Amino acid sequence: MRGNGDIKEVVLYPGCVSLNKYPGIVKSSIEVLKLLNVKVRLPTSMLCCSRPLERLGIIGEEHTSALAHFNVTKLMGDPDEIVVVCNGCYLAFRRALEADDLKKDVGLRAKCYHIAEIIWRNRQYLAEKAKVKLDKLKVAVHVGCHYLFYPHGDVIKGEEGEDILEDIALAFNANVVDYEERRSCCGGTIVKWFREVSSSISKRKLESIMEVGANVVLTMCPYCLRTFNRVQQRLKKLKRIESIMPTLHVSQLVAVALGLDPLKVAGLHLQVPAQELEALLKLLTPQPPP
Amino acid sequence: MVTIDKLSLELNKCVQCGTCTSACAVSRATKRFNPRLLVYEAKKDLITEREDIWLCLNCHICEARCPNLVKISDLILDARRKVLEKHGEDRVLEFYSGLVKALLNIGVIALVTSSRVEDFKSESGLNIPTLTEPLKSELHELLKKISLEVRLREVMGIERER
Repeated sequence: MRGNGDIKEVVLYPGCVSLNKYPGIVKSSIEVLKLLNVKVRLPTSMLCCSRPLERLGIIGEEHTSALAHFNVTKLMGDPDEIVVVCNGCYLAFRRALEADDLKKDVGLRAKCYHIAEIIWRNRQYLAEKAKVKLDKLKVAVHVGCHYLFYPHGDVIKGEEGEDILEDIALAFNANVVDYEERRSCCGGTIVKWFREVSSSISKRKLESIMEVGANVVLTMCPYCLRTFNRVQQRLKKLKRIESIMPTLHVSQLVAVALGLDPLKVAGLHLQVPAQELEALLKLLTPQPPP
Repeated sequence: MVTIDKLSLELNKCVQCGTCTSACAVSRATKRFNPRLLVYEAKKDLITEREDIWLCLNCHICEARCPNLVKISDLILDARRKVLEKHGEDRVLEFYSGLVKALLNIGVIALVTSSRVEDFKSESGLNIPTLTEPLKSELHELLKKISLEVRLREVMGIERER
């Protein structure tokens, strides 16, 4: 099963969107890994996984794999384990590293994990260390298509809940609310060209989330997070919604639950507007001592 | 990866049941997009004539729901690649050339645009350097070797800036 194994040291590949738009995701992931006694290294330089160009049809799978090879050998020092925080990077690296041409022919040994998989595997251990109660959160989970429908192999399915994120939220005693559009796409990948169609897909999803009374969206993909934020900002500007539903990456939710600073570590102020952030932080109360 | 050329077996798996279309978020948002119809057009070798291939989210839900496991997303991606190779879709290139240039010149496609993000990164030790000149040269050699640079020049009509 994905996420098993005794991991001592990893290279955390931060991904473009998380590193340069929501760096709290990267910082939270580093801190969560440290709490699991995992030594974390970062790449020596940043090079995009190139998956966004591949899904547009501009480059092919063979090019993405070659860039993955360059990333792993030249910028990561050929590690045993790579952890990513983005579903797109996950698809690019895992597919490349499991393909015969890199694994057998070139001899790369690295395995690629999503940070959500590491958290999922250690969810009970991490939940025991929680310092903040999440029981007032009504979480709408959005796994994201490139993990939920990962086309090149098995991924973690839910054990206690419906999916990997529900299992994690439940371990921290958050309430998970089901909603009709739970497995539908965020709509983000065509936003640059088909803005209206893209917005309509995102809006349908967000309305479905709001209908069931959720107060936070939980995702494991920074690109989906960005889509939800962008669409809501646009709708708020048009006065079609009054407030923006906070969207958190799973590493940020877990970091906050572990008592790490919501601003200095999770960087929530970089992605949640001030008023909505204040309301969210009020829902988080200290865990009573055992 | 499935390509249209190798796809006759893949296409023959499709029974035109329409499960893909009923699962598709784009099809619900607009009548302009119908993955079932795109597979049908692929069977007639006409998929590269279709404008709607650019509407696909590449979310793979169609493949996950397809009872016969037809690789529909791959098929549409392959059609996009073929269209770009043959015709050089100007609108596509115009929209996305910024991404390609950013990848070639800086190494990343999403850039920091906020001073608050910049500050957070500095305080958190997350200022990972961009590619050094020797690494850029090495990457450039690799891109040549895998014909990506040629491909990008053909498709996007751009040269790598030094």
